[in-house]
Amino acid sequence: MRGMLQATLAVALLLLIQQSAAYAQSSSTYNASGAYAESRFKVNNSYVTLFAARGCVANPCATNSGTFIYLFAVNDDTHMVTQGDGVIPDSAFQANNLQHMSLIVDTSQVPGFHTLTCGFVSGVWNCSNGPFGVMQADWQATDQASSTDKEDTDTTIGPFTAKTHTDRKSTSGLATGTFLGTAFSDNSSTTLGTNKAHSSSINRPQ
Amino acid sequence: MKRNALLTLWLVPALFIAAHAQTTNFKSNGAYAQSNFPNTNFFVGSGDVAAGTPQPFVDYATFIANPDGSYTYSFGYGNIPTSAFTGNNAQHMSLNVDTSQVPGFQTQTCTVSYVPSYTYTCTDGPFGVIQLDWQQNDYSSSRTKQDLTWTNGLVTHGSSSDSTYVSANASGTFLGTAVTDYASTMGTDKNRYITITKGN
Repeated sequence: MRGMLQATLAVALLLLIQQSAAYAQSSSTYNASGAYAESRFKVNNSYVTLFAARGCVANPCATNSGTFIYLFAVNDDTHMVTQGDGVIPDSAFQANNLQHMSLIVDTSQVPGFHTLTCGFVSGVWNCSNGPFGVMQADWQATDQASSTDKEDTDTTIGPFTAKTHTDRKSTSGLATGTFLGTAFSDNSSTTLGTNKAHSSSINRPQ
Repeated sequence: MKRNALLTLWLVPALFIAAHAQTTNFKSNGAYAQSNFPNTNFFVGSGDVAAGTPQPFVDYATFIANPDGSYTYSFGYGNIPTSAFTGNNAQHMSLNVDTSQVPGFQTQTCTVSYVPSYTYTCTDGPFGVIQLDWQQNDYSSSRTKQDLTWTNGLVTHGSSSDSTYVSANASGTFLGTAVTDYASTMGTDKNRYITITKGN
């Protein structure tokens, strides 16, 4: 009887460890000040949010030099969720002019760039690395609307969570480009402008 | 003296604009839905409760850049009948309103041109049917506290909100045009304050 109890406890402990391992998290935190651009668009039946900004990994983050991007994508057919983020070369994001910004980066060539795609199968999120590839975007201000925005947001997308603080000025924009080889455009949710203060903390399964 | 003259030159237009600006305030608690259709930002909220009855309202803005370099924008806002907005279900919300039948609904279309000189002309309308459905798509859920100010032409919106919301797909017709948006949000406002200031 005592042995059965011990075996049951052992199995329960093992399940608990597996569960903990399945939901072990890693995180990235970025601080940004200066130019940024953000779009939401649909490619290959995936809804994508793409954000590019001058900024750096929060610790250390002594200056506002550096550039990073992050993205989320949710596929409407497979319900797979993709999240990516990383520091990219400054030259990949041209943002000297607030009327026009551009991005061209091959994330497969960026050391340390995270991309994780997860599917919810049998009650568990199963994740694998990727996809990596070329992202090219061209943002043109339309001046349809100008805005100031102070915002604190907590968002959950699949197994990912993001905590964002934003204080920024922006104008509406038109975005065109390619995302992992597929063309996109967006003129309804694109903004480009200047972050006075921005921080993003993204948690992902390990 | 010169400084006073410059100050006067600056103040007179500012006072003129201030004197002619019209401000409308909305407060909302409860269900709301928001979409960014191409060239159109759209919001509908449950509004505040007056005399025991919710006072939902609609607030939208559109923008089109014209080939000749001018641009045309429109805006619309106002309280709508309580029955026009159904937001009791967290999975699905819907709106069906004919703004031409809503007393006091404000809508105007303005064309702004910079050549040969700055001019703008505005006309009332268009009024018509707005029929939209929002369906939760389970992609994301969020909580946001936001202070947002945005200007579109002569209209400035100020919004302060504390919202809990989910992602949604929106589809329907907006003043006769079919629209869809897969990055809409729908949720619950805890004291959203909107101030709309319209210059003449």
